[in-house]
Amino acid sequence: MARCKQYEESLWEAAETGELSSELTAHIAACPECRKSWQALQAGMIGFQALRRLPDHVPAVHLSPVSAFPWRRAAAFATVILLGLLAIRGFMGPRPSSHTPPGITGVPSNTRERTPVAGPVQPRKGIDLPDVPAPRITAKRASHHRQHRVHRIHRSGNPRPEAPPAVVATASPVPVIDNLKPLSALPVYNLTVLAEAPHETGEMP
Amino acid sequence: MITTSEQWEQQLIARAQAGDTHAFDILVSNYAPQIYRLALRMLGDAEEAEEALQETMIRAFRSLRKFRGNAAFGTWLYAIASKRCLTRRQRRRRQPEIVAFDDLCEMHGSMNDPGELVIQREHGLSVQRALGALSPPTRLLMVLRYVEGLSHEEIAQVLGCTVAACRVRLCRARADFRTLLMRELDDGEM
Repeated sequence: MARCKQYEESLWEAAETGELSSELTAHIAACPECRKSWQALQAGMIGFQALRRLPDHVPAVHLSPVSAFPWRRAAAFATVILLGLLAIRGFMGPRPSSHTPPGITGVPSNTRERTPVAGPVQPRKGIDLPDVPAPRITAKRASHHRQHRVHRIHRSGNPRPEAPPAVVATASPVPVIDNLKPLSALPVYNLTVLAEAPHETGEMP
Repeated sequence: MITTSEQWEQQLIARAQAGDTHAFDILVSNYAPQIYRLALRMLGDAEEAEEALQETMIRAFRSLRKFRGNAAFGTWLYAIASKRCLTRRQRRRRQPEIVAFDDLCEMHGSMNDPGELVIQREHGLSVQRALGALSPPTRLLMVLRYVEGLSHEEIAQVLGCTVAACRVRLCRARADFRTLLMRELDDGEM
């Protein structure tokens, strides 16, 4: 049996080359196991010859620019960039309000809860604020704006303020028209006269 | 000026590395049949083999600039294809093995003797079944050696191991394959 083991590799080499040495021939004739193995190896070599045959139909290789683009690497790169931007954004803290409502003046919106100070709007360093008038906001809308801001600060992790800050609101809630006249004071026009009279002169009542 | 095929191939590689896709297409068309055959024998499924071929060529195109010419271009392609095939086998590890018989059953015309053709086909099927029963790395070794006809040195380059390690692995692979093949042939006779 040990001798058969010794011949294993020789049998493979003989099957590959197709040449059997006299010693090996004698052993195969004497050992039925090695004979069977030899026959199997011969069949295997014929089988490999069949597998070596190139397939009749070889699919065409399409190398389009889209397929050649490294999508996976690009996706990984984009993810890293996005995470980096989010991390930077996280270190920066809560975002300041984009506009200051009238009447709540003088303090950047992100510090307004702590130190409400009245005064003119001071642009922050390095940022050129456009010189446009702030939109008119009613007291109701200013209140909503303040509540929304408090909620946002709470969600971002900062402690909720004890009480909502006092708003120094100077804006009038609704535009008031002082010189309104009662309906009875309005002039009464005779519509029939107006309808009959053609507008020849171009005068309108 | 007449150049040898190796010089021509090197020129094509240089042009492809410079970004010439037409040169790469010519290179690919020379090696696509062999790569497809390797994928077919490794994966046992024509569709999967086609996908593996596409993946191999795309990977080759992307990393063509890294090709330094230490090994032959064909060996380099075989290395990429082998990795793709092993990865695909690993993905569908739980699925049953599929053995492609289509191309073997369609064998015709090349041989004059019909009896010889039948014998070759039958033995081919037995070998393919025995290969399918091997583990993927062992199967890869056997396919590279006995189907693709690579030398020990070339197989070592493809697998990224030493020649001695390649010989040892191949010896074990042969022993496994012989056992399986003998079983297949016994089943066929019964």
